[in-house]
Amino acid sequence: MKTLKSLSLLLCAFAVFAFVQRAVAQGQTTRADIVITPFQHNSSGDDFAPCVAQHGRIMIFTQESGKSQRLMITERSGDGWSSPSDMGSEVNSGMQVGSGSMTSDGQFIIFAGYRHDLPGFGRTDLYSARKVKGKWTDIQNLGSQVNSEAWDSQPSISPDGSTVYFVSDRDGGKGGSDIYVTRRKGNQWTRAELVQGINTSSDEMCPCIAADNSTMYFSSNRSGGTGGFDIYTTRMKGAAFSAPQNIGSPINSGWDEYYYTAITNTNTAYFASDRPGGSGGLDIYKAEPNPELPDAVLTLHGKVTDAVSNKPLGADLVITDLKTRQKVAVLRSDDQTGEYYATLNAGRSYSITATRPDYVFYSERVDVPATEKGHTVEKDIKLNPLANDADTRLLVFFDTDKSDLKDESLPELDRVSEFLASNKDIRVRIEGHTDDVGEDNYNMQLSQKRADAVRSYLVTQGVEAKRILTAGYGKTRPKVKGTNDDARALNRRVEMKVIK
Amino acid sequence: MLTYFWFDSVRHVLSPISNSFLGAYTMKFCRFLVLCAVAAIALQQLHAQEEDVLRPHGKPLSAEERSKFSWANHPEKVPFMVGIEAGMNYNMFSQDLSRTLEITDSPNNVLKSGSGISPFFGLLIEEALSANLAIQLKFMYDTKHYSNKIAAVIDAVDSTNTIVQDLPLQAEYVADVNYVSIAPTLRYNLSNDFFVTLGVNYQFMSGELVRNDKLTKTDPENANTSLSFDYALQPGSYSMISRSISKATDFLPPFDQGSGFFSSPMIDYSSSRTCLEVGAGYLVDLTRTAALALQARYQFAFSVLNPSFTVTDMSRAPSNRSSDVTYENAMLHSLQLSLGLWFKIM
Repeated sequence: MKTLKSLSLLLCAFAVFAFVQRAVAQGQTTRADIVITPFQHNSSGDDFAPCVAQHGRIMIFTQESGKSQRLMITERSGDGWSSPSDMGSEVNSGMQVGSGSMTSDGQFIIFAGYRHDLPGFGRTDLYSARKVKGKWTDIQNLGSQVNSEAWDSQPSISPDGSTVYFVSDRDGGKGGSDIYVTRRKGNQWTRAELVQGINTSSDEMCPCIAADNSTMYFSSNRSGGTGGFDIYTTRMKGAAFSAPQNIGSPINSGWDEYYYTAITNTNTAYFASDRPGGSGGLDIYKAEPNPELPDAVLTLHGKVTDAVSNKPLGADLVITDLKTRQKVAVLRSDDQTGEYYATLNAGRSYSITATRPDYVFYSERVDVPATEKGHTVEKDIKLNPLANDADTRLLVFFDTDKSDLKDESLPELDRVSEFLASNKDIRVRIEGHTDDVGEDNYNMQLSQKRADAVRSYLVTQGVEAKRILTAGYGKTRPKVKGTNDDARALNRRVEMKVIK
Repeated sequence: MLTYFWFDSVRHVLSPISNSFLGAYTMKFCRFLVLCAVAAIALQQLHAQEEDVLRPHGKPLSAEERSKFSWANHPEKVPFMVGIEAGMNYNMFSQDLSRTLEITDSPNNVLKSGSGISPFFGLLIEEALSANLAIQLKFMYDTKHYSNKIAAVIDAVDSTNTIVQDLPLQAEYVADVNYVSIAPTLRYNLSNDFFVTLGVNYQFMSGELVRNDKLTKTDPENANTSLSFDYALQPGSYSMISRSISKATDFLPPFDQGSGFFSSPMIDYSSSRTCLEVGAGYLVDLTRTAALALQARYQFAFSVLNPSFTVTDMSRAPSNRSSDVTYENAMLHSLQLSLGLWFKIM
C-alpha cells in the first residue's frame, strides 16, 4: 500500500513537471536553432531594406553612403552575392533614395525618394521604375492618390504587382507611422487606405508582403516587444489581417529590427538590425530557418523567345485567374535574357499569356493544386512574329462533345479581341480541331461549331465579323501523332491563324 | 550633517561669485547666456539631418550615439513635449553683516543666514533642436521658505536698575515668499537616460515677503532682570515678543529708548530677481510618449532680495557697545529636487 502511494506521488510529481515544462516551452519565443549571419556586403554605414526577387536570384537593398541613401542591386553568385552595384542615376537621383520593393519578375520597382529630381507631393514620396533593356528608367511618382504631403516611404509590392503596402505618418492614422495599402487599377493606383487590424498608436514600419500574398512581416515599437523596433508577423484572413505576433528571439533583440523578408519557398529570411557586432549602423542579416514561413507557392520560370529566330524577347506577361477571370499579375520578361519569373498561389487555375507588339500572343494554362508544397515549373514561351500564317493555340475550353464556351475561355477571347483591336490590318482564321476519337463527320461538325462559337463571342465583343474566318478540321490535322491521352489533349484545340 | 556641510560649502563658494556678478555684470552675463543659446540653436539646426527613407524625422545619431538618446527605444528626435513638474526647494539664505564694532552674540546676527524647505510646481514645454539638445520653457509657482534660530544675548539691568548683566535669548525668524517664475532652459542628453540643463530663471514676487521674528527669553535665572530698553520684555510681564513684517530691516524690533522711540529703516524687497539654473536629471520611460523626469537643480541667484541698509545695533548699548551694522548681499539660492511627468506630442 505504501509503495503504491509513493508511486502515485511520484507520477503526480512527474505529471506536474511535464506540464510546467510544456507550458514554458509554449511561451518561449527564443529559437536556439535559428542561425543569424551577416550579409557579406554590409558597409560601415547603414545597409537595410533587403528585397529579394526572381526566386532568390537578385537582391536590392539600401545603402548609406556619406549622408545619402542609395538603392543597390546584387545577384546571387555561387553561395554568396556578387559585389553590389548602384541601380542607376535615374533611380538614385535624389537626396535620399531607397527602401525599394521589386516584383517577383525583377522588372519593376517601387521605391521611396526624398527630394528626388522628379518632383513629388511634399516630403518623402513613392516612385516607380521599370527595367528596360537592362536599365532602370521611366521613373514615375505614384501620384496624389498614394503620396501625401507627409512622409510616405517603405513600399512593399505584392509579388503579382497589384498591391502596394507602404508607411506614412500622414494625418488620420492611428498615431506615429502607420501602414497603408493601395491597389493597381489599370495604370492608376487607388486612394491609399489605412490597413486595418495591425496599426497602433505606436510606429508600424517596414511592411513586407510575402510571395503567398497573405503573410506580412512588419516592424513596430509597440509595447511588449524585446526593445526598440521588433519584427511582427500577421496573415491575411479574409479581408483583414490577423493579430500580429512577435517573431521572437534571436531575430528580435533589444536593438532595432526592420525589413524582414522571406525568400520564396525557402527556409531563409533577411532582415536589418543595428544590433552590436555588425559592420556599422544598420546591417542586413540572414536568418535560417525562418520561424514564420509563408505558405508555399508555385514558382514559374522560363524564357520568352522569338519562335523563328530563337532570340530572347522582353514581353508582357499577364497571369489571369481562370475562375474569377481577374488579372492577378502583370509581369514582364527581361528584355535582354527573355527570362521571366512568376509566383502562383495554391488552389487555383491560371492562364499565363505573353504579349508583345508585332507578335502573336501566346497563352498557357497552369493548374496549382491546393496541396502545392512549393516547387518551380519551367515553361518556355515562343512567340510567333506577326506575319501571314502565324498561329497560336487559344486557351478556350468546352465541355465534352459540346460547343458552348466555358467561362474559363473568356479571358483568352478577350485577349483575341484586344489583339484584333491593336492590329487593325489583319484578319484571323479560327480553326477547330478534335482528337482521333469519334466519327469523322461528327468531329468535323463539332470542330466547326466550336470555331463558330469563338467567332460569335468575338463579334459580340465588337470585332467586325468579316475579320474572322472559321474552319473546322475535325481530326484531320493533329498537332502531334499518337493516340495516348497526352497526344489527344494536345490535338483537341482551337487555333488562331493570322491572315495578312 | 554631511549634507549640511555640503550646502554650507556651496554657499560659501558661490557667495563671492554672486557678488561679482551683481549690477552691470549680471546684465552682461545674461546677455552672454542668451547669445550662447542662440548660437547653439543655430549650430544644431545646421547639423540636424533631414528625413530619409527609413526615418520620418531624420537620422540624428549613429547607432552607437543612438544608445545615448533620451527616449529609450525611440530613435528619432522628440519634436515637441509638454510636462508637469513638482518638487521641493532647499532654500539657502545668506546676508553679509558688517559692523563698526563686533558683537558676536547680537540677536541681529540671526539674519546672517537661513534655510528651509518649500514646494514648487509648474508646467513646461520643450522643443527639440536635435536628438540630444532641446530648449525648454518652464512656468513655475515657486514658494520659498527659510528660517534661522540662534542663541543671543542682550544687555539687561537688574531690579535695581543699576547692574548691567547679560540676558540670554533665543532669536529666530521664519521668512516666506512666493514667486511666479519663467525659465528658458537648454536641456542636453548625456546618455540614454541622463541629461543636464542650463537656464535662466526670472522670478516675479507674488504677494509679499513676510518675515516672522520671535525673541524668547531663555534663562529663568534672570527672571528678575529687565531689559535696558523697552522691547516689551518687562520683567515678569513677558518672556517672548514677536512680530510679522514685510519689509527688510534688522531683527531687533523698535524700542522705547527713554529719550525717544527708536526704529530701524524699512526697505522694500525687490519685486523680481534673476537666477542661473543648472541641473541634472534622469528619465524613466513610462510609455512611448510619456516619461518620468527626476531632476536636481541649483538656482543660483544673481539678484539681491533687497538693497543694502544700515542700522544701529543697540543690543549692547547699556554696556556702551553699540554698533552700526550694514546689511548687504541678501541672497537666496535654492537646491531643487523635482519629479516631472513629460509627454511627447507626436
